[in-house]
Formats: sequence, C-alpha cells, structure tokens
Amino acid sequence: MVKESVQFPNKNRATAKKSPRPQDHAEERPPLSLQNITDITTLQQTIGNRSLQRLFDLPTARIPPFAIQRWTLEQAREHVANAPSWAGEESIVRAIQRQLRRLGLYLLAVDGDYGRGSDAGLVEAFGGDEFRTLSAEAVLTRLQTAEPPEGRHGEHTLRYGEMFRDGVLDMTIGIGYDEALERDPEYSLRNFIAVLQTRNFVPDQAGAAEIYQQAGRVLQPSLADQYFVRRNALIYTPPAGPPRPIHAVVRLVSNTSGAHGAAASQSFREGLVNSDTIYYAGHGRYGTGPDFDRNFASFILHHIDDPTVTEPPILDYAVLENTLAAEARRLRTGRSAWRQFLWRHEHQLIDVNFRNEGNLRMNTRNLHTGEFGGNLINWALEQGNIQPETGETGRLGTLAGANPERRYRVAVFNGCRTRDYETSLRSTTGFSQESAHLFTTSRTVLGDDDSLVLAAFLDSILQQQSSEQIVREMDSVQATMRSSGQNPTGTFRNVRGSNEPVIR
Amino acid sequence: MSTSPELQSTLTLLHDPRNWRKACQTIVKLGDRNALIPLIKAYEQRWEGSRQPLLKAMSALNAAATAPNLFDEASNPEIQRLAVHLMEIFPSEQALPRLALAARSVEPALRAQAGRSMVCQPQTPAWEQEMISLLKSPDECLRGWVIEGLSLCDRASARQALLSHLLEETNPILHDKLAALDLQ
Repeated sequence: MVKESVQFPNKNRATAKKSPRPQDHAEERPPLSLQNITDITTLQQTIGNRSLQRLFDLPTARIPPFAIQRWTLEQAREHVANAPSWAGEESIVRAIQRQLRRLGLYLLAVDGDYGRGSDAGLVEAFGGDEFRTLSAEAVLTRLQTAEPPEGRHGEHTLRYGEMFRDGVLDMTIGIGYDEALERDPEYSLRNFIAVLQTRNFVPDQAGAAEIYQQAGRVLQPSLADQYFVRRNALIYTPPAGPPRPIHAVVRLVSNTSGAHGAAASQSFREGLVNSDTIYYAGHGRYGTGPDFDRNFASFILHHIDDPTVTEPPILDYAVLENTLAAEARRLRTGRSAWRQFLWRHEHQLIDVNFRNEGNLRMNTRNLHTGEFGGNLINWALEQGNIQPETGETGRLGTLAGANPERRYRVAVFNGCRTRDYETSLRSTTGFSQESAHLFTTSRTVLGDDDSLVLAAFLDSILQQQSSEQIVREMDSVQATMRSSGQNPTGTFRNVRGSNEPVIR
Repeated sequence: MSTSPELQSTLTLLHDPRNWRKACQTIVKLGDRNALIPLIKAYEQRWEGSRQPLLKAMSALNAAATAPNLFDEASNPEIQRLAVHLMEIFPSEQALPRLALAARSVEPALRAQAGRSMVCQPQTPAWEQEMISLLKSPDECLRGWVIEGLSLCDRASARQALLSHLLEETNPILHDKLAALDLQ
C-alpha cells in the first residue's frame, strides 16, 4: 500500500462576493492521501477527468499523475476468498473481464480488479468452479471460443451456473396453511404432488439424501417434509464449459394435519438458507410473512354486562370483524371493529387463542393498518413476542451468514402482496441484491391458481429461462384471475439480483 | 335454482373480489335468498382481503334462518357443505339437527365442515349431548373439531367427557391435544 501523501490544491472558490462556506476553509480540510487513491480513481471513472478537474479546481496541467493501483492477489482474496492464482494480474483480469462482458456475464467496468463480479461471471461462464484450477491462458482461450447464451436480447437470466455448481437443483416448496382448506386440508398438497409427478419427479427420500450428500448437504428428516427426486432433470450447458446433467430434489413442506406448524416453518427457514430455489405458496398474512399454521384457533366474546357469560366461539376473524363492527354500531361507541377489539381486550372481554409456531415473520412494521386482518395478525405476533427472521439480528441472516458457500438463491413468494417482504429481506444477509433473486407479487392473488403458477415456475427453471420470461409464464397461467375478469399481467415482480447475466 | 336475469348477472360479478361491494349492494336490494350459496362460495375464495360486503349481504338475506332450508333443499353434497358453512358463520339452535346429519354424511368434506360449524353453535345441553356422541366418530378430522368445541365449553360435564375420551383416543395428534388440556 502506497503511504505517500499528496497535497491537492485548495477547492476554495470563495470571493469577496460570496460568503465562505465552512468546507471552503482550506485549513479545515485534511490533505488527501494516496490511501484514498481508490476513491479518486473511482471518481475519475465515474464522473470523468474534466469533472474531476472542476471539482478540485485543477488546471489541466496540474492533474496529478494517478497511477491506478490494481488489486494484488492478496487484495482480490480479501473480496473472493478462493480467487484463482492469477487474480492479481491486471492485464489478464482485464482480458477476462472483456470476454465476460462480451458473453453478457459481467456488467461492471473492465478495471482489471478481480472482485465478486468477475468471480460470479466466471462461475456463470464455466458453470462452476473449474476455472479456479485452470491457468489464466486456458481460461481466456475457453472464454474466447464461448458463445453468448441465447435468448431474448436484453433479458436477464438467473445465475444458473451458481445454482447448478454442485450438479444439483435443490428446491424447497412450502405450502402455507390455509384456513379455507380445513374442509379438505390436503387439497394443495395433492395438487402440488400432481404437478411434480407429471414432471417425472418421484417420491424418494433415500434418493434425495444421496443427492444432497453429493451436494455436500445432509438431509434432516422432518414431520413436515416430503422429498421428490428427478435424476437428470435437465442438461446444463455453460457457455465455456461442457454440458452436464443436473439432478433435481424437491422438498415439499406442508402442515396438513395442523399439528406441525413449528416443524414446517423450521423446514422452510432451512430451505430459505440452504436451497437453490425456494417457493412459497400461501397467505402473505398482510405482509407479516409465510405462515404454516392456523393463525387464530378461536375467539370467545364475553357479555359486556356479565363477563361470566360467553358467546359461542368464533373461528374466523372475518366473522369477528363483522361481529365487532356490528357491536360498535349497536352500542354507538364510534369505534371501528379494530378499536372495539382493542377495547374488549383491554377490559378482558375477549379470549383470543392464537398460534405463532408456524410464522416466519418478515416485518415488524404493520404495513396494512387500515385492515382488521392486518392489525390482528400483527397484534398476535407482538403478543407472542415473535422476533423477525429478517434484518441484522434475524435468524435468516444469521443462518445464511453461517453458510457462505450458498452465495445465491432464488425465492418465489406466491401469496397476496408479497412485495411487502422485499425491503426487509433485502436488508438480510444472504438476501441482498448480490445474493438473491426475488419473485414477489404486487397484488392480492387467488389461491386457486397456485398449482398452475408452481407448474409454470418449475418448467421455467428446468428450461433455464430468463427471469423476465419466468414472470411472463407465471402471470399467464392465473386462470382463476382471468376468468374473474382480472388481468393477471403484472402480478409477479421480478426483483433482480446484481451480477445476473444479460442476454446479448 | 330459478333466479331473475338481474340477479344472474350480478352473481357473475362475485367471481372477482374487486366487484364484491357493488354486487352485494345489488343482491341486498333484490333480496333473493338464492344468492346465499353464491355468496358463501365467493366467501370461500382463497384471497386475503375484506369479506365484509359478503357477510353484510348474507346477514341481510337472513342466512341464519335460511341455511337449514338450503341444506334440506340441496341437490348435492357440495351445496349441503356450503349451507353448513353458512351455519358456522350464522349460528342458531335450528342448525343443530342438520349439523348432526351432516356430521354423519359419507362425504368427508361435509363431515369436516359440519365439525367446524358445530364448534360455533350455541352451547345448549342438546349441543353438548350431540358433541359427546360425535367423540365416537371414526372420522379423525371430525373428532378433532369436536374435541376443540368441547374444550371451549365451560361445563364440567364437557370436560368430564373429554377426560373419559382421552383413554380411548387412538390418533396420536388428537391424544396429545387432549392431554395438553386442563381437564381436571
């Protein structure tokens, strides 16, 4: 590291006509040091030399001769621990970056620095880590003869190279708990199994364990999980690597008995951390997060005049809202149904039996304060002191941080208004723009379409489609929404990750 | 079901939750109880949003009193199940005989809905007697609802029935649920 200090000319434009601003006092600004050379060269690359001159009031002749210091191998390995041995050779890295750009696998500046973007591009080019052991010349030769991936110009693919690096497509599908299906609790599970079986996935826990082992993972049996396997599910051909078969394992998480909410949420959390692809189908729970058990078991209202007398139980919170709204009107309290609930709770005139074992809380902030259901679910999570999974201290981030090998994941949240999860997920280790691609929904969706949407997503992944195409496929199969006169286009949001390849 | 053309066209609006408010206003104005089954069908749509317009319309059509008749007149078990769901939302003592019948149906979905609806009925002595007899049902899903219903009843006789059933319950999940209750 260069330690030499460089004194830059003052950026003092103050004249007699203009009051000096505090930052205009030259003596208050510490001399810029060559330790900040990276900042200055970044500025040069970003705003250009002329702007840099104007910024520092530098006459052209006085531009200091910035010698751009590129990362050494050691510095590259601070960013990418297993960077190849030639990662400190600027000219080679530049040539490789140029080739990666040509292939659409690297969209950052060709700067000769081997960082995470270059590394991700090479993983996509080779479909894995093979390049780490090749000579720079061999890597460059392979890249020079590679053809860019085909597809619609300008669209983006998922990082399939990263996903299939270990030869396995590991997918976790979670079926959220749906109170409306208590008359037929296995309805969604049956439909989802049919989707898998028509695509030649077979129930095979032993086979799944064997394939997991190949990928360096251990299958932990759970009461909430069923495993399906399709060997040689797809052929993956990276641009600079040989074609190879990929096995697919699907873990289907559900709680049809209603008794395994905790096990189901734990399995799904594990999937979010460790799987290549995670798919949730179920209630969005008003932005609070996926849920694998019945949210409210019962509500019992006590008579206001004689609290020892109770009304018959209410099982459905929409009915509770209706009852409380009617009560508030009858009593002329002027309260909303929600305020009436809070009043009853404060006066111990309502018993609420709620369950939180199946909740994976994404947000602590109530995003739907105008809706009774949103208020009630957030209230129950607060009562149960359920901590968020997201953010710096959440379990998701902690677990993902402990598993740095899993550098990328694709998560689909097919429930009502799951865009509500985006901000909190993005602030979570393992789900930042660099490490996750999210597909969320921008509106309320109808549950009857969920198996069709799953089928569309699964087919798209097996065909390695672009993320834009995946959204189009999922939007297009919402038969119930279409028959009800709704236009399903625009339901799914394509929340792209960084370093994802573009189709040239 | 014979309905007026105006009701017929209004009912098609119920497919889309965004139209519920408008459709329900018309339905209430028309006052035709034939709208109750389509209304409860719409209510069952798996969708996370307000169902208040549907509940108000069903209430305005006197669902509590009409549901038992709809059950009697139903042409198939699915319509019966929907009528039984109405009985859950709008409980009444008149519902009990139909619920007892539905709980013994050969249709699992009808039995399951009957179990849920039983939980929400007025806890009269007749209700309690019926619930205790349903503890003997071979249907585990139904038994689960019956256990839940009796556990929410304050009477000592209901607790005693559950305590006696604890020894006979063969389903491990239900057994655990019973064992976790304070039945003494």
